Amino acid sequence: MKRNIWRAAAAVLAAALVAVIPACGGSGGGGSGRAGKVRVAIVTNVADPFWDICQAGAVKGAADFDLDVTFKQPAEMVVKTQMDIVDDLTKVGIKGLAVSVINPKEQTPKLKAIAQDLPLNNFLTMDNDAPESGRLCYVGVDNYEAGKEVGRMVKATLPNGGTLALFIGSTDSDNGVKRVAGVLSELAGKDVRSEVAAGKYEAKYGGFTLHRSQPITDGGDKNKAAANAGDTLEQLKGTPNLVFVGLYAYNPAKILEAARTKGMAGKVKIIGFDEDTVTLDGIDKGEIVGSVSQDPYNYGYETVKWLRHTIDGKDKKQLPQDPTPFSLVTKDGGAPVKRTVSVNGVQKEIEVKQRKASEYSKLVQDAYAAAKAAK
Amino acid sequence: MNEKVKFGAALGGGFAVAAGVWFATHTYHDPKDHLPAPWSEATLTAWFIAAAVAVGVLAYSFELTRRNLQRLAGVTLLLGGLLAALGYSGHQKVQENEPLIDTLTSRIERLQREGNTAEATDLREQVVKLQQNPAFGRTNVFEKLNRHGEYGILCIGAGLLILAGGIDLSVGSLVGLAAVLFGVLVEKGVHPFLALPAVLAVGGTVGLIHGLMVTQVRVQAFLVTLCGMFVYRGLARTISPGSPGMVRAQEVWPDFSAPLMQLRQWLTGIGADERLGFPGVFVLMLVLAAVAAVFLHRSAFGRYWYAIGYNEQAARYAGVTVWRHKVAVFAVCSLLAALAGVIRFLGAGSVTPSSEGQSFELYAITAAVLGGVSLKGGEGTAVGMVLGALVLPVVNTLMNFAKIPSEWEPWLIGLILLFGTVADELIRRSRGGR
Amino acid sequence: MSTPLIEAVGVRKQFPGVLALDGVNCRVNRGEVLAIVGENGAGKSTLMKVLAGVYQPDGGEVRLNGEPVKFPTPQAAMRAGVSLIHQELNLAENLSVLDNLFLGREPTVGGPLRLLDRRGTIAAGRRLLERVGLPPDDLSRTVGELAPGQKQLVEIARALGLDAKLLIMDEPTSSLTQKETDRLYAVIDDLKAGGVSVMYISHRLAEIKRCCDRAVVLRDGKNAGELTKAEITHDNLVRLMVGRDLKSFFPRTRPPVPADTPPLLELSGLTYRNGPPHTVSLAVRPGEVLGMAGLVGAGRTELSEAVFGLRPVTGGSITLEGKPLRIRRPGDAVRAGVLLVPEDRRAHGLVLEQSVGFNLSLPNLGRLSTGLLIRPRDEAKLHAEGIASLRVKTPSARQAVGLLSGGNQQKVVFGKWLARGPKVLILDEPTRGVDVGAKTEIYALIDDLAARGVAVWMITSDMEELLGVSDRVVVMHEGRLAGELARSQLNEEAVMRLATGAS
Repeated sequence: MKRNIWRAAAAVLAAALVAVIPACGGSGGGGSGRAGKVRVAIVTNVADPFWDICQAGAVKGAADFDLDVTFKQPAEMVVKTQMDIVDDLTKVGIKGLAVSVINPKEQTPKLKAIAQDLPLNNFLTMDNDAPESGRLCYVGVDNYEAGKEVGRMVKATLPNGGTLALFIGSTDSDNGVKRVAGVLSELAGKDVRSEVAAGKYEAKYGGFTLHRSQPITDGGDKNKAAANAGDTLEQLKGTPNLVFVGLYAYNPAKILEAARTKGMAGKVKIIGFDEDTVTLDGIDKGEIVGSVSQDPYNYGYETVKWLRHTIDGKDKKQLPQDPTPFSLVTKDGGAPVKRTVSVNGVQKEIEVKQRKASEYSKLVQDAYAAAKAAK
Repeated sequence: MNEKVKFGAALGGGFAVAAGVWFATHTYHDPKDHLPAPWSEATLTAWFIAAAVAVGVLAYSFELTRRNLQRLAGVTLLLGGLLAALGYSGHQKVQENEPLIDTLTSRIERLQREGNTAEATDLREQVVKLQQNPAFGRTNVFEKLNRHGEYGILCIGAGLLILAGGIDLSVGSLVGLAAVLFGVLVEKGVHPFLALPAVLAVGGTVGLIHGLMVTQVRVQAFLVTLCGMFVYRGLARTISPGSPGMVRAQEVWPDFSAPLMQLRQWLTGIGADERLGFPGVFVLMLVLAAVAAVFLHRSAFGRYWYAIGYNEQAARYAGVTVWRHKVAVFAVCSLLAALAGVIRFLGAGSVTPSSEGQSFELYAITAAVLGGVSLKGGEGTAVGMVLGALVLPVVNTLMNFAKIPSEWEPWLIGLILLFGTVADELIRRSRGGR
Repeated sequence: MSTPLIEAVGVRKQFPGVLALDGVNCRVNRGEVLAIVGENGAGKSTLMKVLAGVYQPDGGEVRLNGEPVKFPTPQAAMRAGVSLIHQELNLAENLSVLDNLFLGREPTVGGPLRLLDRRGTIAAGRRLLERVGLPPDDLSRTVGELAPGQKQLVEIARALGLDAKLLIMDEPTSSLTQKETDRLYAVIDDLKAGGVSVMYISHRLAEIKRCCDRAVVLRDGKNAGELTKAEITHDNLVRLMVGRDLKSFFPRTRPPVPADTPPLLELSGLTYRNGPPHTVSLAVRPGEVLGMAGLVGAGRTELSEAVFGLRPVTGGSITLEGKPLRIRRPGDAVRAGVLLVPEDRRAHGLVLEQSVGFNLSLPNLGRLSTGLLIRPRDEAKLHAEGIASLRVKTPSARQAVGLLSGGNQQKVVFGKWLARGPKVLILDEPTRGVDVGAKTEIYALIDDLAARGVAVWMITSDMEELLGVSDRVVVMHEGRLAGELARSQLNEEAVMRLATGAS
């Protein structure tokens, strides 16, 4: 019986070892390999392929700017989960932090305290901004303007108007409201931001009828997104001048997959957002008109760049004040186009990059591979 | 042993443990870890005494039998290993700082030789800070204890229920519903001090319904609460399609600002300046665990729950009104889930209806099992539940401390928990005879 | 002497803390029925399990046809022709009788397709059922819906299907009715005639005398003696088993209860949910032991459960000490002092995994508590008194009750009620699975309780016990009272006549 006890104790110690080994391997390896490197952290809002691309950019940035970057993707989009990770990371002596804020209004007070405690207040927001949090700068596109770009693409595809079905994960999040408002404002020719924020929609925006008079949401559930797209395709079968717009990364992909199974691919116009693999493939095949990309790889790279900037004690005035420009993904790409957008309330002309889908797809695949290698 | 002597010893031990933690965490004093303004010494003392008494009652209620100790052996060893790993990963951080410390030390020596004592003292403080193991810094310990408290509250509820032969899969959804409901009520203009009991009442009622469905309609608990899991998640999303939050509520009702802050301070220990002054959730959990321990190990209720968990029929044949006890335990489980939900809302400031508290029911069950509660019912101790609930927060912290990639976390956590349960089972079997 | 079929030579088996077998010798000849007798804990079951390959001996050896053998698994033993019929029936309750008979060795056709040979199976199954006296229609019934006696016969039929050379039966008749038992004896006689050997564990001495050729008596894991058929007598067996003479098997110190004593508990016109259509009326007087006889399924247990509040009463009335008593749940009965020692003590009487003390305290916690808290000192006193007064053999009150022998377990069940001070004690098969030594102690306890004015209502299928302990006997047949016998009228035939419904 004594022997059994020891055997059991050995089993528990083995269990503990499992915990210790990664602890040694992770930071021990880091200790020798990255000794002396300054550690910074990036915390996203949720785990997503979008962030894998971003991570690849961050890894590249880490190499270029000689930083040790911890990149964390929380398992679920919950404030507490994200802040628990942030709390932990601030204890291990990071010299800079960037966060994709889930709920800017509610997280601002706590983020303010965290920003105060960080060395040199080196705190950035990315992807989703919390302007009052004391962040030094924001790395990310203006979602309203990106939405307007989608609207422009819709108008260019169907100049005489038609029926529009709008798919999005959620209209509660800040970026969701802004993207929807951007699309609809562009179509209506007037600013409908406050109406959209209040959840008020009209049946018609410019020459376009909004199907169900509201965006169709799925709460981030990709299965539901697929079901939504399929059901709507059934309902609208035979309607002329049909355009489906998907505003979260997975939405255009799910629309395309549904259209393919129903033999409607190419017949229904699909316009998307972001760079899901399926979306890029669809653009390349001509099944999707195009997509507006936030360029997540660039997010990752830029974020690391500006974190380093502050660590080096360089002038904070050089930090970017304007949103990051978005880019266009189309079948054939082309020269950059000029767009007049509102930047911090001022009308400005900016250049929008056009990417060729097949080339961009390769870039994204490389990014995935790089991110995977970094893990 | 004389009961009074034992009680005194346990209480004294409780104070000793609490004081030890207190002083240990104070030694690593961080200049930025200042005591937040809203904290008076009186409040802190009250918390401290509550924690010490709770530890004392827990120790006193724990029956020192071989079987009970055996049930704790696995989790204690696992926790020991995990804490050692955590400490080690913190220690590595200190090692990383060594070159910097060396540079600073030589600078201090130079400054002292030059007679610049003021600057030297400043630098020395900085060096002391760099030499600290961040894993055992005060704020870090307090934060982790608070997280432990949150899991612990759920684990006590789930543990009591499993012990009495039930199961509740709706805990996670109910945490979400309670958190959202509290936010929505406050946003709708219900005073926070009224919203808290209202949410707790809703939680208790939900548990009552579970219990009645199980005992009177004779539907299996697994099924009832599985359906509940979907229902409460749906309800949470229905009553608030957006994310309710404290800032939004205070904008609509400026009057609620003060009571909300007060409630947050009492329940979580976070001051108005957003800083954690004392692990309030942890203390609350300790007090709840102490109450559970008294019920479980020192009162007739606990005996009945153990009997029901092992052999419901035998309890019935002994004249115990089984259904009433089962309903009560279901109600307690749901009530504690609702409490955890409110604490989550207060602690995070905002909650996500669609995924707040997701899979917490499984965390609670795992914690209870690690703490020696048998899924078959009839086994478990209050101390075990408290220890079991500590595993997951420590593992999570370790993941962030040891630079483990996010995608590794789920399988690492799964493996560690598996090892814990297997080891526990081996220990039990080696002493159980069969 | 010819080579025995199977032989155990100096077999030792050690369990944590217990030496279950200490050099036991035992042999079984071909076509012989051997009884293994001994108190619970004497090592009978362990010996059988060693022979059947469930346990491996720590010392000594098992010889089959004179050759040393090792059975690593029960399957290996079965292949060698040794089949064990377990005390706890080992049937898949959710499957049909037919499926159970051929479980794990289903006859198949179609080669690798392994299609079930339905027709062949059914024919073979019918033959097996016929041998144990079950109707062939039972083949398609689900085992779960059979009576315990029928299940036992199915279990035996299954072993017969395996062409066993040695059949080991662990208390095969403990849940059989008289008719089924007789059938079993006939089956055993058949087997014997066919050259099959049988090893037989039983507590029923009359049974051993009826069908065994020889008896080996074990005590404390050692051979205590051996009796030839002629020597098998009640006294001889008991002497060898207990190691001493029993003064009186059925002590009786209580005075007779006068016939005009008002009853303590009275049932009149009682009916209960899902019960028989008949009403039942009976009365138990203080200081009296009322025996209740009847065949399995006569509704005795159900009636007692209705009185104890486990089955809802739908009509009639229960009177306690002349006052009407309303019982909705067991708690009501317990508070009123009407207490039940249930038939299935492992499932209903005890929380086996918990300690002796836990079980003794369970129904008495209200009395032991001040406010919320239990008074530890009073509880310890209760445990000490319970263990001492009932002579429960346990290392301490903390010992898990499931580790005690059947007799000591039953004493704990008694003990938890005695601490409450019973008015009416309903005993349902109080000595089932209890060894001889503990039996006398329990009989003495019943006598003592009755002497102190407790009304005892004892349901039993053990004829010896019924005749030896009861002051008065009522017999149930198919849910109603078939008749009543005063002590002076008591004899086995009278009881059986009433129990079988013969007029």
